[in-house]
Amino acid sequence: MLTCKQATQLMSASQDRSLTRKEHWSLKMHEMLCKGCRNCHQQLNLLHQLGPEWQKRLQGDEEKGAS
Amino acid sequence: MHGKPVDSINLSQRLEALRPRLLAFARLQLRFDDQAEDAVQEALLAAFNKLDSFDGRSQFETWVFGILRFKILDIFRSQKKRGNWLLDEAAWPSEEELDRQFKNSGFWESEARPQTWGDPEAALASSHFWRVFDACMIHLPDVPARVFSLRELMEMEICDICELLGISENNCSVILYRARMKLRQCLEKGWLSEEVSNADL
Repeated sequence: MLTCKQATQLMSASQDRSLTRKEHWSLKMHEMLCKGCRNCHQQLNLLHQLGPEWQKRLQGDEEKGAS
Repeated sequence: MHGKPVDSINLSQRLEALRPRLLAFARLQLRFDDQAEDAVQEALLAAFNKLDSFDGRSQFETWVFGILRFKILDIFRSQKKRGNWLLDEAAWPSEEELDRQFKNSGFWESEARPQTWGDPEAALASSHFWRVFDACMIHLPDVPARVFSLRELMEMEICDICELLGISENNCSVILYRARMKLRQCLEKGWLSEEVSNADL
């Protein structure tokens, strides 16, 4: 069984390369049992999705940039 | 593209209006104010000189950001030639600091265990979320901040980042791991504090 630290390393790696089948399943298994790591994975996924919205905010949103 | 006269007064006003956001972008990448100012100045100048080649197919703002992005990548390239600042591990976030979130056994310390952030769409749409994000990016050390923003904000591929910065894929993934975990931790502190107070009404 992976430790939480190892699980977080795999989460990060999965955003830059595809995991091996073994890595994939051991991460899945770990997350089934660990709420903290499920939350962590969602948070890292959010960080991975920031690009388009970040670019949009910088480039376009005059009205939102005002505050 | 000389068919219609370019309204250059209007466009130069729009360029000036873009300056603060261009500067915010350049600061994030370059980390030094004077370098960022120079890059933005050069990009604005280049944009102004190339107005004729703006064909209106992309959004004007996107086009200008594209020019700035190109300038920034150029600066990275010249920095790479001058010396490899990235291999200085002292500039990375320390492993010990991240390790404090975990017990010796490798499982979360109870006070460090990640919480749920609720709906990701709502976070992305929230100005507060982005204010916290900006603050967290500023607190991130230089190296991870640059690599993270190239990867997640400018959406570059790992192999391109490695080539650009002259680092190995392994270094790149270690830096990204630490950057993501630091940011996660910082965002959780800043973002949840407000979320919870809203939810408790």
